[in-house]
Amino acid sequence: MTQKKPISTAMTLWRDYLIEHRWMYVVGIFTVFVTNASQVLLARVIGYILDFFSGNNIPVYFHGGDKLQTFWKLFWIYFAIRVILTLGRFGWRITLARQTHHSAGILKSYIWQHACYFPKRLFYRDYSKGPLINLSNSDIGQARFLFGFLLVGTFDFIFLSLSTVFVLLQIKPALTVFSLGVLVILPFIIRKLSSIEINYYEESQAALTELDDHSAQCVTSIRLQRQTQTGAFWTERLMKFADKYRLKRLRQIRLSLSFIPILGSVGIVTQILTFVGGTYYVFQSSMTVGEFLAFQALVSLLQDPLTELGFIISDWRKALASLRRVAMVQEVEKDQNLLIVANDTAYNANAKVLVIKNLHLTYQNSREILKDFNLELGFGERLGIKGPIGSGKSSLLNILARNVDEYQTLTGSVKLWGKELKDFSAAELFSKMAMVPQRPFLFADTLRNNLTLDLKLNDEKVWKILELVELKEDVAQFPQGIHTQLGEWGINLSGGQKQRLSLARAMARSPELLLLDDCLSAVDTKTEEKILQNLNQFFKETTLIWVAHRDSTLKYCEQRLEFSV
Amino acid sequence: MSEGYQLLDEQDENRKDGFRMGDTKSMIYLFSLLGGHRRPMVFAVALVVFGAIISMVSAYFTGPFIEQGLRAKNLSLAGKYAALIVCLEAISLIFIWRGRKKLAESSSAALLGIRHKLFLKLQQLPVIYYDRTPHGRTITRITHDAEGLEDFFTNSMGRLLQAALMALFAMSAMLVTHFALGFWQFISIFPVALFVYFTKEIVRKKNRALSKTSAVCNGQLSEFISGIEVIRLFSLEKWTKDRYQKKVDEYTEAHLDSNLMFSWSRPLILFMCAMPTIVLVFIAGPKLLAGTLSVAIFISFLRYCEKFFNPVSTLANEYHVIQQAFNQAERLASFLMEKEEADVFKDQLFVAQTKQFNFATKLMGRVEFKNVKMRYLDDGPDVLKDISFVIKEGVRVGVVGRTGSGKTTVTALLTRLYDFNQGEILLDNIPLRHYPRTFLREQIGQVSQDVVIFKGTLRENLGLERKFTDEELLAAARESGLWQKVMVHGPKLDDLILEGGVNLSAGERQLVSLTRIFLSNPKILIMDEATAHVDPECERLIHQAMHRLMHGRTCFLIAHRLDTLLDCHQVMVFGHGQLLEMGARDELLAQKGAYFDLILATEKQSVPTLAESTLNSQVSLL
Repeated sequence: MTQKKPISTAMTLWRDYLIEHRWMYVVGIFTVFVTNASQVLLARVIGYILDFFSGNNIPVYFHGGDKLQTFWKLFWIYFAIRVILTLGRFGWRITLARQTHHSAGILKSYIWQHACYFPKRLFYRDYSKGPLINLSNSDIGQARFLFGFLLVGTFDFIFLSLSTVFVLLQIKPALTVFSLGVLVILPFIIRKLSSIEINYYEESQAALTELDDHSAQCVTSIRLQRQTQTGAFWTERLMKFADKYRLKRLRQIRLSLSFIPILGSVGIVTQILTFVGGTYYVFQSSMTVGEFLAFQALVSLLQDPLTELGFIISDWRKALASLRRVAMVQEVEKDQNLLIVANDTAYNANAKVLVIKNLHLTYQNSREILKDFNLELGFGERLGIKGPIGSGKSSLLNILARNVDEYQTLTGSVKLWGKELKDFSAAELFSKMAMVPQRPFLFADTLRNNLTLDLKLNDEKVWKILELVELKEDVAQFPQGIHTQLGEWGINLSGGQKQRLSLARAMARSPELLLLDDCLSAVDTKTEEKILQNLNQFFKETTLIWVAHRDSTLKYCEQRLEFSV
Repeated sequence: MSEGYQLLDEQDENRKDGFRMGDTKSMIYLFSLLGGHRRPMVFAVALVVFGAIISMVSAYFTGPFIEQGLRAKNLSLAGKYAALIVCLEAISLIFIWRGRKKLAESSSAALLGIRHKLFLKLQQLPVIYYDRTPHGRTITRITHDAEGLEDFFTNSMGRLLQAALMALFAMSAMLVTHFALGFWQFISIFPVALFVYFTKEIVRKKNRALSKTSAVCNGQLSEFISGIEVIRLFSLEKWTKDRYQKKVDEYTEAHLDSNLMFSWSRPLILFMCAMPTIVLVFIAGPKLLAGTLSVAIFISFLRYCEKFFNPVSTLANEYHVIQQAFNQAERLASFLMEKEEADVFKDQLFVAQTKQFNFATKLMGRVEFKNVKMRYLDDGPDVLKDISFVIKEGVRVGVVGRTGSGKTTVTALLTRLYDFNQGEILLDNIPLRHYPRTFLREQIGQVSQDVVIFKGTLRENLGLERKFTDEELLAAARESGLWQKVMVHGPKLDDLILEGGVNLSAGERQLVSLTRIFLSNPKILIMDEATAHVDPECERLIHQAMHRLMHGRTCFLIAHRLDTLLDCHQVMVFGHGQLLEMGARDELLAQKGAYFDLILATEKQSVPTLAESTLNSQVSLL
């Protein structure tokens, strides 16, 4: 994967958005200009007001009938410019700043739209929860500014500095150059300092994540700590992490506080230069008092954007880097299984449900899990697989569910309903086959939604399925029945209940082939018996493949396989 | 920041139950906890105050500088005033900088102390608190809320304090320099103050919506990753995309909503912050024309307004930061006030005895329950209904029963994780409550499926709190099987074990846990059997180790497999919170009661198993 691709994807994202909303940007930039022009004019007008009171001359267009009228004219012009300034500020917020939020939403969905197709192993490594959430939070948090605030800041800087310098030059060119001499080094200092600050900040954030992760672990293992008297151990560790974070954060804060004396000194030096130069010119009578005041006000007005420039430059870099990281999700390779396109190969009506020929499965090219394996299963047949841990008994199910990881090599032919396994699209395969995994995973949603997922089923059907897995009585006792919320903020089901719901979920899809990976281990034998009988009665046509520890589970399987290590 | 814990933040706003302190009271309470750090903080604030005052004095002199220096073309005066202004500005700068730096440093140290109190609190809270409260809420307290407060004290507080002081002194300077004019200036800040006050609730609500919707999105992503297996198995990719889009839409909605509000409120606030200048010109103008006001004063006031504008707009725009800090203070204070184990357990009478207790006491291991009743919630059902039994020293008891039968609760009572409501529990004929809880937890060994392993050396992980000699450690490791399985080929005593023990297998972690028990040599053991997902070799070693452990100790073995019960002298069968049967295995089988039923249900099978087949041959089917 070349370096170029992610950059251009990011740039494409940016460019496309800007072009799509171009009129918003044009209007927005105009309002920024209006805002800056107003700020500059205000400083100038205050200068004119002072000149007026000092008895100096002011431009003709301010003159009224008499002194009082001139004053009021000046005042209302000042007031009007203030109002325009306010409107300008409203303007860029409602146009440009708003794009920041729009784009953030778009980027957020963009991430999952691509990430949902990632190969599973990526979720355990580069894109595990921490990094993915960081991407969705911090990186989008930075990148979204490219679409809004950064543009505001950049144009703000350009307009403000240009108009300020323009007016300054109008008042006194020589003094302008003299006074600003020192100010121009500001951006460079700021840029340098802010890069260091960013590093410190990121280090402190890493330390914070560490502290938070351990704090969370401490809370969730409190029971065990209490029993084993390991609590003090934990407290000590947490304090170590807390202190580490504290020191890193303090280092960053000290640096950011050092901006005060640095900016302050530059400001003071500039002030000195302005005083010296300005006094000289006023004494020479080539500058009025009002002009001096205006000059001073404008120079201090300029200090802000120049400071900002330093931050703006580093913000641009941060934002671009973040956008690149976000765009990376589009470039990353996707799960091959999901890329198979649905084809219309008709199913052979006479074909058996499952035909496996010469299957070899090796783990890391050394350990053979399956060798020369053959199997045939017809409609409604039941196969039970037994074996100790580590014998690979779940492998068969995983192969069918196309869940073979990168360390395993598979050769041979697997045909389902006469069609090669690898020719099925994911949607097609899982519409005909359903698997109940070993560990039941439920979403933080209602019980009903956990059962139906993306299917549309009526309540009657839902209750019927719950009855088949012997959950009907349990659910009937829940306060909100099937609409009970599951999860930490709702009800926590017991292990056996979770397993039954997980089974119900697969059964709800009315599959022709049902794979069951030791999914009733937490259910007691009496209930298990009832469920097995329900399966016999209502899922007669369905082919079942069971993997289990207990013989009781495999009771009704006519065919058996036993794996050993 | 950690997962979806922010979501719980917001849920808590509506929490009606539990103890709530007022916001201000909480802040005061937290301050009281700062202890010795308060003085440096006060000193730091004093520095900032001084710096702010000097800044105002400097502003004052701008007037005379322009009036008496520039206008009057008096070079020496102009020079003097200019020098004075610049020097004062420099001094003010230094004081403010040092003051804020000191404030950040002392706050940081102070907040570490508060964190310590929070961590200690975790250890004092009763287990029932953790059962009742979602973990996420507690985690939010010690992470998000603590950070928020920390951030406020070290960062925002300095900035806002500086702003507040600047504004205050600018206003005071105005009033002092020219009272009439200053008075009108003072009135002119009312609009912005009132505006901020009346909009603070809306701002707060909108900010909460922002963090809530963000947390919901994060939580959803996190959930998708946890459940990726299910997503793939049911081909739910599109379903997840739709689901996520809904949440993203809410997120965008909340942000656009707050953008709309800030679009007009912020500019308006800035406008209102400029009111003093507008009012100044409005009022001073005619006065200047009439000659009743000097130009010098006008200029000074202009400078004051300049110094006033930025601080006031900072305060107005960041008011919600202050609000949030108080909020977090309140939540932390309430958390710190939660009832501890010592409060909840009815053993206050024996606290004094704890100090006199001889911690070297050796337990014999006789356990007696007399009519013990227990419920988790005051208004809930009885989890244990009148349990009575006697277990003599060194007896091994198998405990069976379905989930919810009360078997785990009975053993939890022994280690005082929970307190019982009625009846009496006697240990060596002395009431359980007479023993300090820490003693009990040390003297009663616990073996369970979960093992807590830290990032540290193997030595640290085995010895935990106490120091053992190498001989003691190795002897225990040989007894448990840890030596044979792990230490011969793998990590030695001083080698590093990773967090959670990830460089050990599940079985090996279990061996570490057993070694710890051998080291602590308790007289009473509680063993929760489940040895699922452990490789066969470890399983064998674990069984052997457990067999050795059980010898000569009173054991409660919560059995999941019936062959484990072969080792036990007695069996207790629990059901629905009652002790249904108790006795030796054969007796119970003969009784054909609850135990008998259980055996029958588990061993029933109707299809004979096949002969074993090996890996490399054709698998035979029947």
